[in-house]
Amino acid sequence: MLILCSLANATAQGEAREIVRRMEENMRGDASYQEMTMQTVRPRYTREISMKAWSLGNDYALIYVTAPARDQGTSFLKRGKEMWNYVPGIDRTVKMPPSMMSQSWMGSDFTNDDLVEGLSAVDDFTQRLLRSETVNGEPCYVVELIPKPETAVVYDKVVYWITEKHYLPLQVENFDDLGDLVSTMHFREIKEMGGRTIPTVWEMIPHGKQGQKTLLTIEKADFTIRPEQHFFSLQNLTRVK
Amino acid sequence: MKTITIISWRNVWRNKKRSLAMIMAIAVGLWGAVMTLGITNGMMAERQRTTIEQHISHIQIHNPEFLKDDNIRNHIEKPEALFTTLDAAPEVKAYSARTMVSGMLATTTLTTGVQLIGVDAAMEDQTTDIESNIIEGRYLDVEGRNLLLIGQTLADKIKAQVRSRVVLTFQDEHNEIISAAFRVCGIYRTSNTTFDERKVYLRQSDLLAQLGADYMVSEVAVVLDAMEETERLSASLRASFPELEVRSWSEVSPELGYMNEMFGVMMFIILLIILLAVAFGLVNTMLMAVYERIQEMGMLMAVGMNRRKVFGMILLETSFLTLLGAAGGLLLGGITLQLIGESGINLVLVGGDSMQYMGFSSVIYPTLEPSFFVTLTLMVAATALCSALIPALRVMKLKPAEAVRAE
Amino acid sequence: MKIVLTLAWRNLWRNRKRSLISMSSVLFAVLLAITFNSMERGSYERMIESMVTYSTGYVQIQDPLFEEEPSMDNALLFDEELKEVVKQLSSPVDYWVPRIQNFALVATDEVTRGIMVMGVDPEKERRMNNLTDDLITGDFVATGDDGIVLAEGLASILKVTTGDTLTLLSQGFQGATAAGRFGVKGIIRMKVPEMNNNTIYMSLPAAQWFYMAEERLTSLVLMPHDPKRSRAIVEELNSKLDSDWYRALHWEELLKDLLTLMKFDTTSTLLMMLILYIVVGFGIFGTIITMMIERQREFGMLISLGMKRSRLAMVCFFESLFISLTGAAAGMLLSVPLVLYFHHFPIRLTGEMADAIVDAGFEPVMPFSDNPQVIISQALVVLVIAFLIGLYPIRKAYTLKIIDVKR
Repeated sequence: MLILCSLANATAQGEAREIVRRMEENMRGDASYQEMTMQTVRPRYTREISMKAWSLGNDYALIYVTAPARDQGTSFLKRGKEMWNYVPGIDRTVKMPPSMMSQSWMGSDFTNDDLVEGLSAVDDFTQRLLRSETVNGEPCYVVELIPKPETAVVYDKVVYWITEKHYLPLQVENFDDLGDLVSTMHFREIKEMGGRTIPTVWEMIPHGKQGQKTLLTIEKADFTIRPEQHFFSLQNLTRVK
Repeated sequence: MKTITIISWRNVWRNKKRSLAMIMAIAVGLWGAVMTLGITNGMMAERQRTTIEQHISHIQIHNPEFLKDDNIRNHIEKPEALFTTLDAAPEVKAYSARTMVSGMLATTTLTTGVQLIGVDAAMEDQTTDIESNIIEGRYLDVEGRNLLLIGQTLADKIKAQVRSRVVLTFQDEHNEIISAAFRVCGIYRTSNTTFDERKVYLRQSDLLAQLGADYMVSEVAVVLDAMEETERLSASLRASFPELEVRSWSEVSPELGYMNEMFGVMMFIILLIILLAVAFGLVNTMLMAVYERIQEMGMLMAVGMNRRKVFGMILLETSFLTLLGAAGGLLLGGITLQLIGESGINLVLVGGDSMQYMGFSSVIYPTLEPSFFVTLTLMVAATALCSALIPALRVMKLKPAEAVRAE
Repeated sequence: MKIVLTLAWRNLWRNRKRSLISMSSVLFAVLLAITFNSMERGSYERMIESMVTYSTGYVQIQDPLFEEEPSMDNALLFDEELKEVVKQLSSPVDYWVPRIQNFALVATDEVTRGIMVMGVDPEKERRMNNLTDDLITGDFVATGDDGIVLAEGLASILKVTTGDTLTLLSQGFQGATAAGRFGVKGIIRMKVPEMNNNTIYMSLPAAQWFYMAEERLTSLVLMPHDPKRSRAIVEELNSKLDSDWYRALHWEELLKDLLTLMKFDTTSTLLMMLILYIVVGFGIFGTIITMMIERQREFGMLISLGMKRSRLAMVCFFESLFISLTGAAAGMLLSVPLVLYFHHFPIRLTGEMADAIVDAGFEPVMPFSDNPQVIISQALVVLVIAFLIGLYPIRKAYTLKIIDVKR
């Protein structure tokens, strides 16, 4: 009886893991080029930035801001856990010290850390399938992710709603160690773009802060490109357009 | 001489109420002085003791560069020789070799700057007795990796508890950024809330593993059996290890030394004021006494008592009053100190907890050196004598013939 | 009634010496109480004054969200409308001090470090707290300047000096990226070590440009013509300004933490004063007791001659009143020059303790408070005490048995 249970458990675990793995594959891919706009909504104002982003696996990313005019030309480079920022106005590249990593990125609800973290939902967490649920008409798997002891993430628990049809995330909830909700992410407008089917609107809503959220819209994507590692260099940080 | 003494003594009690009033005044004044100074001294002594025991130890040893820039690369080269010397020194009670890095601690709500102190659990506990300061959870000697011991002030600030997950971010010697998740295994509390907010303890092995380094020591803190050995040992260590910065506790925390000086000044002022009040009361009382007995004085002098004896009589009267009052006050004060000194006073009710910010415990044990009582007695005696002078001199000026007829 | 008063007054002068002694008891008590209290308050006031003039000012206007979240997003708009409101205040403001204070990263080729940027109007700052006096090298930034002034400690950590260029990076107003290169114009020494390692000054317009915060401030400090009207000014501002965008704060709110710390100090002062009162109280009591012996005969005589006891009591009542009043008044008068002298020429502290105090950013003196409230309140307290004690004879007036009167 015990063996059956643990077998069932193992299968359940394995199943959850598989669901998450497929989702991650769909979302991450090996490499990508994306053009997006990010809208930071605050009680007193709303700000919009447009950018281009290249990524290679979990470890390399290069972001170039195209609009508005005063931010145009600002770029960010991520290599592993390190992050650099180039500001054309002063023609300087600055490396982010640890104290800056938890500051918000470009004034949004994402932190520098969020951009850099490169965590794998598959490898860095243990997964558990909780139930099935229908959200906005889409049947989803509800998977609970608990970070492994060494995983450097502040959340104690993350819950994913993953569509059964496409294995794409629809909603993510982040919890702290008291079990309180810290933030929620919504994924909408699933479209085909650049060779994949992905949600093109990402919405990050911090919990408990009135009228505050960040909206990321992917305008264009190309998952077929294959940038080289040396593309993600400090030199390129200043040269990229 | 004996006669005058007896007369003086009897004179004191001729006006019981007045004498008692004066004696009470002196007693209360001195009792008050003893209490105030006892409490203040207790506070200072306690702070010094806890600061040394819990925070800075008797001697601290660093790489000189570390004091300017606390990067991990400024560690002590080849600490083994130092350890051998310390192990062999008989006056050393214990020491702790720590790996230290400053970094950021993040939870879901907050990120804040902290100092990570990587320790050998046993060594650290022997040096600072930190395990006894743990109010929740366990010390670092339990099973498990990446455990963290944080101060209560910090725990409250970041709203963390035992088993909370936090992320530590810091730099290694090449300024590469390292992030790692840790779990709070315990919460400690010392007498200094500022300390508790900044210092987090973790296993040295865990920290070194994150840094990807072999054994690296940033700081060695030494605790001695007797505080008096500090200077001697510091000097000898400096001589043996000229490349290291060896500092005694008074160099690490100069304000501890200043505290004692401050206390001295305070004591002087408080005593001065109280003794002034006492002195004036004495002068007045004795003057009154002299005036009401002016006829008597005149008579005594007329029948042959020489002036010096009269002078002496006044002095003795004053002295008796003062002695009785002082004895009462000091004795009572001493007893009160003994009683309270055992159990301690909790100052929270009078706002004492606000001082924890600077490292003053809110529960204090009033205490005073015996030498203080001696000093005080001497000061009181001096006061009595000075106070006696005015009425005594007044008496000296009397013309017996006039005095006898005075009203 | 008139008879009673006249009797009381004449009684006092009948026995000049006795009355003078009693009065001087009261006088001295008042003097001591005022001295001690004034000294205690002096240090307290000096510290508050330091904080207020050096840092917070008497009144501050901020964005209402700034206290909770001190980011550039919550910077107030410093436009003509606001200036008008300030100019039109019923209690006038001598001058205002506009400031921008925010976090930024400073970078050299080797080091990137988090620091505080202070965007200031140098003229106004100088007027408020002589900011520019501590300049060590170079010049301070002028109003239109685009250079920066580094705190001494920071300059040495970054290994830069005047003439070098530094890069500053931060988050600006409403999410804009704040970035700029600035030439180091001067180096300044700051009193508080924490600030000495982490502060950069620039002119206000330069800060506004850097943070993309045109016409914005993080705080507007107001220095009223009469600081005692600060509370009224705060209320008036809060009623006239739109509370969605502006909030006026009193320095007590800004220095909340410091005031909590002081709470303990005031309690201990109260205790000391209590002890002092008891001591002087007994001293006064002693003189009263003496009077009693003499008065017994007198009372006995008056009563047996037919004076009503109640009348006698009234006479005693007024005698006590006169003595207390005269003593207290004289004490007050004498204390004024004393207090004023030590207020303007405070006692200088020396030695290591003085150094420690200077390190903490304060002047090593023991100033006396010149607040008239001290003088008046202390005089009143002692007056009441003296008066109450002086009523003791009234009891005698009622209870005296003529038979017991000694001749």
